Amino acid sequence: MLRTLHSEWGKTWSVRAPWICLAATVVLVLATASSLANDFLHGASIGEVPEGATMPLMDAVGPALLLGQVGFAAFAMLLVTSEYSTGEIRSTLRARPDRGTVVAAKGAIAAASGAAVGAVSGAGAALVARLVLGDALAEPPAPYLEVALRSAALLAVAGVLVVAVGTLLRSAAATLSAAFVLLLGTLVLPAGASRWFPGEAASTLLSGDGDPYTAPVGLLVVAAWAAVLLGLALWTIQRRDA
Amino acid sequence: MSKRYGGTLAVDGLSAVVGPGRVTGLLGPNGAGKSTALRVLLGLDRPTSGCALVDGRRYADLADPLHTVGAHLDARSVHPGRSARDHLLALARSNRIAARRVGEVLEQVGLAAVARRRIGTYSLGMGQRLGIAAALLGDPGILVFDEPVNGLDTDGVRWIRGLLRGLADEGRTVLVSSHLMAEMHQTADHVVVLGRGRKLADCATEELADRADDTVVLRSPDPDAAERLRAALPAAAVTAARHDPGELHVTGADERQVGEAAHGRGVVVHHLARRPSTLEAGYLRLVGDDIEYAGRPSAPEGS
Repeated sequence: MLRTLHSEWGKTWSVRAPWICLAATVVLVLATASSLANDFLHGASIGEVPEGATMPLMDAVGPALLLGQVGFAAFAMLLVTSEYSTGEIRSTLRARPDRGTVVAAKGAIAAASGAAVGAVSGAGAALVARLVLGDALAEPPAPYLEVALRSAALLAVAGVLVVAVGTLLRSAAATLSAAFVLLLGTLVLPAGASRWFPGEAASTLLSGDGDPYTAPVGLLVVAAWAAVLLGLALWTIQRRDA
Repeated sequence: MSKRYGGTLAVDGLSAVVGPGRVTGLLGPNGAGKSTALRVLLGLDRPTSGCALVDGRRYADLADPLHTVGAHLDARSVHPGRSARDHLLALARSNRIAARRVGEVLEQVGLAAVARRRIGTYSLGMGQRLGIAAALLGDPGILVFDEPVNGLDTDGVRWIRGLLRGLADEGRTVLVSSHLMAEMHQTADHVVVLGRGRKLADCATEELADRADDTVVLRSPDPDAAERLRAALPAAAVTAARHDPGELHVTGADERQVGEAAHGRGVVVHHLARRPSTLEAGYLRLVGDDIEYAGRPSAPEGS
């Protein structure tokens, strides 16, 4: 497993696209958080928002990270789909015929990268939102460490989920649209149903407002989806022709 | 071993042993099942029935397969955005191969100078060389190449020929699929011919080539040489070459019989030899039978 991880790690960073996807994810999260905070200030200035109202930090940071999942999904997707689109998978599986190990290594890289980029973009978004909101920030704001931990956990688990979907679908376009539907699209489901899907669960994990369940449960719901899909992916790749 | 894709039986009960110390050519027309057989052998596809074993084990059961089997299937099993060096380094790491081997094989295939360039900028020939470098990386005892000379210039073709011979002479097992018969005639010691998924021949290269032509060519300045030979060899057919009436083609007699007949009848002989047989002719005769069979209305569809 360790040498497969070492090999996959080297592969990941020796092409350009992953770097671009991660940079784009951070920019997307920071820009969205700043834009949401600014919208609130604008609403206050034109009287849409009552005088003296304040914005909770996570109202700006949470939606920004939900959107950021899609940018990060592009990164996690590429770990698998670029193998199939280029034909590299034939080299990879000849070198490591224990295919489950390859998928597990890619999942681990997606999780580690998700944790890193989640922590950076979560803390960064919190900083930007604080700077933009100033006095309009609701007290007490969530500490940086907590925001960073929540967003790191979310992107780590979402990364594994996307690697699993990519392994099942193999096509980049299909994987990205499936990831979009799972991670964000399920937010539009009726409240009773959506709580069991990754969209609502991720939102609850980030906001930590206890509705409909606590943040750790939200993380567990996303993780359960990731685990089931990963199990399916491992089962499938062992049996499928490369 | 058999392999079915949906309704198509790509390999149909193929059974063959590829031995060490020689170059074995895997020949056959498009759709004959060559690539499928190699994909099953290398653990990429699962056989529908039977199995393919490498040193007595399934490929998937090899712990670090690059030390046992090196393969080059096509120049598109790589990420074009990565450098050759990084591509080989990832393969080396995955199979516990020392990083210095990467430099060695790049040197060996002549890509050392462009090792840090993106693979996408390589020519087809350079891509082939990279694939061969990857196959040699683990210093394996078994090498499998699918159409390795495609896209190579004359120099590259000669290089591959020498490389394959050298690998076999070192006692390694070398399996090469190709549709270039002249090339295979020069390189392969042994051939396995596939047609519509079945094995049509499994023999020494010369044996398949020898089946091709039993014509003896004789050149004589005597204008009545043909008549005299016909009289001496009633069982044989003697015809004059279209482009040169002095060149006679004899079938139905070997060069010893023709030579003795010419001597007996006092025919002056300037040249006497069996026409050089080609692997291509032997192959076409073999595969041609198969294509005729396939063309019968009652034959199943697809290939």
